[in-house]
Amino acid sequence: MILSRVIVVDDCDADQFISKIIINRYDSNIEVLQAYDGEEALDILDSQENKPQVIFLDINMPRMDGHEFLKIYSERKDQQAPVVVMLTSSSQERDKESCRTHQCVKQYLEKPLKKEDLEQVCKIIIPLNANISNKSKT
Amino acid sequence: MNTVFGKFLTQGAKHSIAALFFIYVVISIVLLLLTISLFVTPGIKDMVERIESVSRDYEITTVKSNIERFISSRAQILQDIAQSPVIVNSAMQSSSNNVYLKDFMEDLLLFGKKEEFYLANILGQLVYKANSDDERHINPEEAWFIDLLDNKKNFTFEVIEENDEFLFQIAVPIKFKHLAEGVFFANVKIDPAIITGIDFTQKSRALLLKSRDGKVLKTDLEHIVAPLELKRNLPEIESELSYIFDQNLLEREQQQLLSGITIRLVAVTVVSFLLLTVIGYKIILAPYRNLRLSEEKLRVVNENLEVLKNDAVTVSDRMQAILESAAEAIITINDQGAIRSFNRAAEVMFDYKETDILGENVKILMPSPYREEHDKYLTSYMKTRKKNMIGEKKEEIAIRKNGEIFPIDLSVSQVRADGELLFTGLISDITERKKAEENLAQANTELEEFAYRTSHDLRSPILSCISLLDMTEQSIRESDQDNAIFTLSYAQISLKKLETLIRDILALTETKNKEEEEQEIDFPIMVHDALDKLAHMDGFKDIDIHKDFQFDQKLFTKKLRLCMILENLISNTIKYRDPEKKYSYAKISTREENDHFVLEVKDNGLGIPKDNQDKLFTMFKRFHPKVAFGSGLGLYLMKKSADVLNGEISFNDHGEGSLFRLSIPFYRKVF
Repeated sequence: MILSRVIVVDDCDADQFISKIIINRYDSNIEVLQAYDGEEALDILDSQENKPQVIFLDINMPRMDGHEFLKIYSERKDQQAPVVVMLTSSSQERDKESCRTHQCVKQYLEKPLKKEDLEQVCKIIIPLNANISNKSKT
Repeated sequence: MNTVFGKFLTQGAKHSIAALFFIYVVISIVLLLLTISLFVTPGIKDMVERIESVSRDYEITTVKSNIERFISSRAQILQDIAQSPVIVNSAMQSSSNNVYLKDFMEDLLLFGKKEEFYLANILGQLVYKANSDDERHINPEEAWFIDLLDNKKNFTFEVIEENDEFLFQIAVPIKFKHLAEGVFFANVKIDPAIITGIDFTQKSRALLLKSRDGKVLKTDLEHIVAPLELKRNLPEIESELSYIFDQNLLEREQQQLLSGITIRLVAVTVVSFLLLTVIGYKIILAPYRNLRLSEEKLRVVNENLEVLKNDAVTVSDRMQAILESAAEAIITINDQGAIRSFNRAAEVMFDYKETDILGENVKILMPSPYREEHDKYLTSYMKTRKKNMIGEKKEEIAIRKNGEIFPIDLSVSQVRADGELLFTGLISDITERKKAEENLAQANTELEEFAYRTSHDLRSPILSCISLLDMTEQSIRESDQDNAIFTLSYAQISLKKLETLIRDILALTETKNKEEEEQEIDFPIMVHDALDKLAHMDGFKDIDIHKDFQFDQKLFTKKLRLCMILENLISNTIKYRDPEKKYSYAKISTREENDHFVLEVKDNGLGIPKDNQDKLFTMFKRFHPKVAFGSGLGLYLMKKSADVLNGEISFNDHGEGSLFRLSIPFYRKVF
């Protein structure tokens, strides 16, 4: 069991639906949390005891968009912090660059989410998980 | 108006003439003195010399014969003189060198046969001295023929031997005090027994004689003085001589010479006068005539200048007219900053009258902080001449009389007029241009944002649809009909979203481009139509709509714009109603306020989150996720439309929902 819990932050119902289907097709055991904007995502992250491992984050959202979310999220010094994978329909270079400035952003994906993308994400997760378990052992 | 040249002859020229005259007088005097010393002085000297020489000639030619006559007729007297006993002064000294008479004689013979009366006289004296003891002294200064002594070198003397006796005959040229001269002859017999020697060299002439008592005496010829007898006869001789001289002749000659001097003096004076006249003409008259000529030229030049000046005045008037009618404000200041001119355009631009503002410091036309610093700029420029402001056109800000600050283009140039340094500022009001520039910049930013967002928002639903349709296809293949329908419904949602977005984008493009005439609006009817149109919306029936139309003037404006704002405001209250509230309302009211038509739409819906209220009216801003779908362009559209209507739209948070207020001027614009 590599991925057990993720959160998809997107204001579009259709995209939420697509992401959920794809993730569950990849591994039906993965629990998919949903947030419709940055603010809601922060609320969910704060309220959940069992933190998701990956945040799939869209950029253009009402209220608090992806950039604003990253700004606040990066300032949190949380060891257990889930990695962020951008999942957006923006292929603009300025968006990509802006996201790369944040260390927590590990991947920049364009919609729609695909099976191969998830495999890539898992490869990133494994060494991170190993590190965390090593640290907990020592 | 001043004449170009006040006086023809300047003070300087007058001084020059005075100086020239002074120089002339000095030169004249110097020349006069010079001529006198050059011509007259030597001339007079010459004359005097000639008078003397004439006198001498007279003596020589006339007087000589008279004297000869006198001498020959008075031979006996002279003979007596020569043979008279003479007194020798006591300067006879004894000598150790005895010269024998015989030797002396030989010497005398060698010396020459004819020797002087003088020696004869001396010898006579010596004989007398030798034969008598009378040693009378006579003061040599009393000697009347002292000149004889001076001429002793010219005397001649002869020794004649007779019967063992020596006869000394001496001839002496004499010169009387009264110009006459002649030669005296004398014969002296000396007893050779008393002559013991002679000392007759270049330096001394003395005889050595033996006196009766046996002493040897040396007679010094230098100390011979006049014989007493001759002295006794002096007045007689003088009276004899007096007639010799022809006084009249002398006077005539002298008269002639004096008249010669007079003629010369007159000639010199005339020549000097002519010379001075020529010089005077050269130095004074010629320059003065030139000066008169220049004065005439100057007068002509002056007249020409007067004509030019009149032309210049005309040109200046024209320039003034141009300045006055110029579209740009033109302000002239001096080096202190005081305003010297202020044209019509400046009056209009700054709302000051030229008469009021002349002399004021230009800094009153500048807002802070430039106002406080302008004096420093000027002072520093006057010191360093560093041209920060001069020449280039710069954007600055200025302040009107009423305190309104506005942007200007300012170019300053520097001129020197009437010996004063002036700065001319050319000012144009660029408020309109700046506004246009700002609008353009904003439009550019918006366009960029628009391009970015549309590229994203248009693409996003299409990408979703593709995925969803893929899934649907898969579900159909798997004969999972329920799932297929489910995914299809999402595809529909995405497409609807796309459709809404495209419609809004079109509306926005239309809003931006559409030109529309103003027309009279019946606002209640417009509200009625809008409500009819929106009646099909979800939730329309859940809202209680109040109407309160207090505005009762005629409203002229662009109908479609106003309608769009109204529909958006109403549809927003419906879309963003608060479903948790049991009672939802929307209140539409109008009123007149400060010549403006004011529309307010108030509801108790979701409102706008406080920290987002500043982003209101920008593109693609949505504030309510999961609540209805909006393109995020609605409020932006309203704002743009309000701008087109010269109005303003604003949002108020009244605690339990939103209050939008639109305010537009309702009088028809006259242009």
